[in-house]
Amino acid sequence: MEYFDPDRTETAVGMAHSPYVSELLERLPGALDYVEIPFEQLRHAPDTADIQQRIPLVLHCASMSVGGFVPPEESTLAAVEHWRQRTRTPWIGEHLAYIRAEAAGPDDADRREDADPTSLTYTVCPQLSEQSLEQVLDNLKPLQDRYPVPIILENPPQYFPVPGSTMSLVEFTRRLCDRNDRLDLLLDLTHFLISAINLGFDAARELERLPLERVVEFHLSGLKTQSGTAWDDHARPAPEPVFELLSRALRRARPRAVTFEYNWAPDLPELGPLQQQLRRVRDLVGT
Amino acid sequence: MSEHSGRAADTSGAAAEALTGPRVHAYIAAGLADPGLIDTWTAAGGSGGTGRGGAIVDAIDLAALRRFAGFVTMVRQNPLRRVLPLTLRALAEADLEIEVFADYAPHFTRLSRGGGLDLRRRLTAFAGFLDGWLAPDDPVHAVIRDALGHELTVERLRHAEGRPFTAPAAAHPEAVPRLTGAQALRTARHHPRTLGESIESGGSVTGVHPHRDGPTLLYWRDETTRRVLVTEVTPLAAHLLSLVDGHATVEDLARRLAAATGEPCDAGRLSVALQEFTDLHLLTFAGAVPSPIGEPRCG
Repeated sequence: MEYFDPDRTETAVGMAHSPYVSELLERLPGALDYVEIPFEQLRHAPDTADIQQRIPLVLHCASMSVGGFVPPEESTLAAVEHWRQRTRTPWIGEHLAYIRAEAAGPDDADRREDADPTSLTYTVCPQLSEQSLEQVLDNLKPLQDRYPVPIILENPPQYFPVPGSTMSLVEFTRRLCDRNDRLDLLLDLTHFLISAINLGFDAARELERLPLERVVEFHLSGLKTQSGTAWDDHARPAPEPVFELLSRALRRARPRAVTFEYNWAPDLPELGPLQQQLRRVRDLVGT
Repeated sequence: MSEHSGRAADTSGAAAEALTGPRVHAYIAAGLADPGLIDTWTAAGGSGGTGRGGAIVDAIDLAALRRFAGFVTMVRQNPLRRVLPLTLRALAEADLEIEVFADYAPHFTRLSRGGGLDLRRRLTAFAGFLDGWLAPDDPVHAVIRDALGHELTVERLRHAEGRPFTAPAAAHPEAVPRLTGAQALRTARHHPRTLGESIESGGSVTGVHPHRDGPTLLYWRDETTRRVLVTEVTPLAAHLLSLVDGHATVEDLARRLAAATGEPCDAGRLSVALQEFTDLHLLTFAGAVPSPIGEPRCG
C-alpha cells in the first residue's frame, strides 16, 4: 500500500479520482503524487480503494454537512473514520456546505420534528449569517475532536444569493478561521472564480482578504457559462484565470497539495495539455 | 463588501424574521430534492403560500434555484457523457444545457425515487425527454436532434444482436442476399462528420447549416472489431437494403426495384452492386446455384 507521507515538505500534486485514473497512472508514471478520492465513492464501492496499491490516497468528503443545521448520521461519521484509518489520509477535505436540512413546512416546529430531514445528492452553500457561523463552529468542534487528522473546509461555489445572508463568503471564512485555531482551508480556486463572476466581486482583490496562510490544499478545475451563470465543470481544463489566482495565492500560501479535479469526463483527456498543466503547477509551487 | 446582497436576498422587517438559517436551508433543500416544487412555487407567483414558508419562498431567487437544480441533475447524468458526447456538447454550445436539465430535473427525480438507474434506463429516459423537448422547426434544435439520433443509433448497434458474417457464396441472380452484423439506415439532416467537426472544434452549432435534403446514412457494426461505422448511401441503395429480407433472390430484388422506380433493373448488374456490401461484411449470399468448376464468379 502507498500512503501520503505526513512529513512531506514539498507540495504534492494530484488528481481527483476518475474513471480513467488507473490508465493515467500507467500512461504518465510518476506524474501524480496522490489521488484524491471521495469518501462517498469508497463507501459505495470499496474496491475503488485498490488503487492505493499504486498511489497514496487523500480523502475528500461531502457527507458531514458542516454548513448545515441537521447533523449527519452517526453511521456516516463512523464510516469516515473507517476510511480515514484505511487510507491514512493526511487530512479530511470537507465542503463548507450542507447536504441535509430539516423538512420544509409546516411552520409549527413541534410538528416539523416528526418529519424526516431532507437529504441531497449535492452540497449547497449555506446561508452566510451569524446564526450559520455559530452553527458551523459548533459542528466543527466535535468533528475535529473525533478525527486525529485536520479537517480542511472547501469554499463552495455560489450560484445564487441565499436569503438571510448578512456577509460575504470571504468574511464568513475569515471569521471561522479567527474563531477556530484548528481550522485549515481547502481553497477551490474555480469555485472562488465562479462566485466572483456570479456575485460580481473582484476575485483577485477578495483573494487577498482570505487567510491564505491557512490553505492546505488547492483545487483546480474547469468552468463554463450557461444560461448567464458560471458553473463548475470538471470535464474541462482549468482556464487561465484560475492559474492566475493560484499564482497570486501562492505569494502567501504554502499548500501541501494541489489537486486537479478533472473527474467528470469518462475518458482520458489529451495527455499533452494535461502534462503541461501538471508541469505548470509544479513550477508554481517549486517542486 | 456587498456580494451577499441581491434582489432576492433583500429582506427586512417581519419577513426577515422568518429567514432563519434552518428554515432557509429547509426550503432550498426541498426545492432541490423535488424540483417540481420550484415550478409549483413559481407558478404561484413566487409565493410559497402564507406563513413563514411563504416569506422564505418569496425571498428565494426561484429562477436561479431552478437553474441550480438543473445543474445538479446534469452532473448526475455524467455517465451519459460516454454515450452522448456530441449531443451534450451541442447542448452546451447552444447555451441550452442548463435549461434542458432544469426542465428534466422533475422527471429525473421522479424516475430516481425507486433507486439508482442503470445507464440504459438513464439513457432511454433522457433521450426520450430531449427528443420531446426539442422543437421540430428550430434549426439549432435540429442540429442537436441529429447528434442525438446519430449517437443513439451507434449505441443501439453496439449492443444489438447480429448474425455473424460468413464468407459469401457467389453473387448470382439466383442467390439470396442476407444481411449480416447489425445495421441501421437513418435519414439525417447533417452528416455526423460535419456535425462532429463543427461541434468538437468549438464552433457554434448555430453555424451548422441544416440541409433541406440531408444524407441517407448507413450504420453497421464490424463484427470483427465490434466498431460501429457509418457511411453515406444513395436513397436507392438504402431502399435496396431495406428490401433484403433473407428470402428474396437477387432477381426478386431486381423486380421489386424496377417496380418501385419504374426503371428496368438488371439482376446481373444488381449482383455486382450488392457485392460492394459484401466487401463491407454487410451482406452475404446464400442459396446460390454453385458455379461450375472453372467458371469465373460473377462480380
